[in-house]
Amino acid sequence: MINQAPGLEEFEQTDLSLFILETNGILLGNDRSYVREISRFERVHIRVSLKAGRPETFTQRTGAVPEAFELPFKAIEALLDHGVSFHVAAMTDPRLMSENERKELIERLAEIDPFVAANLEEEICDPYETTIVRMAAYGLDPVKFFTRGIEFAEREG
Amino acid sequence: MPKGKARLVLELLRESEEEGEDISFGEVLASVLTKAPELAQHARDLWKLSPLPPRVALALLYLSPEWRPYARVAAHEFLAYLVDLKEKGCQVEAKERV
Repeated sequence: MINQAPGLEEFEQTDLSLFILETNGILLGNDRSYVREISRFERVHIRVSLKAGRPETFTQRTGAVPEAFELPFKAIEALLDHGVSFHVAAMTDPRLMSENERKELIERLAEIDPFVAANLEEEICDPYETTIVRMAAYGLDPVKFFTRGIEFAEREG
Repeated sequence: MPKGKARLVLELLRESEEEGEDISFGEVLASVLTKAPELAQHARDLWKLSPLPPRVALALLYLSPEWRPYARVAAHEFLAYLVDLKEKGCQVEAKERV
């Protein structure tokens, strides 16, 4: 539980104004008691990073079972229910995510809450050195991706 | 087009979408009010959020019972704009690549 990760308790003792907790939403969606615990901290903001708009692409990108696709959305519902400050981010770069999948993701968020969907932070994949190294390790050609990458997403439909 | 506070939130969402996360909410708010100074009367209690990242400030705004109804109106308007904008952007990008 949260009290086994004392970072937030320690943060409460500081005079810093904001702690942004980054999560993929898996743990928070699987066990709402995490969210209840987090709601005790007024200066904590949660950034939920979504990986996909469909179960099959979620599995493709994360290696997790398709059933886990629902968990980040359950986390978002729990965060709303507990009045926690949060927003959602997603890598909707058209080289990685097709336009149809992006729309499905936004529509899914809008079904939960229209403002959460409207406040979506859409991310673009930048060619940082670490990104290039990891792409190469996974057998992707970074040069091809960053010059012609939109074709990857277009093939998905 | 929404009016008053709802329009202010709509313009904040649009500006945040265009500017990304590299600037503060205060800069986003200032930019909106430069373009639409008539909204300044509705923005007085938002300046306290200035140092925050835009998405964080907007999330806090949504938690405020006073702002929440206006934020929901703005969100409905913005969602249509968001999807349409990106679709057009993607079509242009695809044509340019061809």
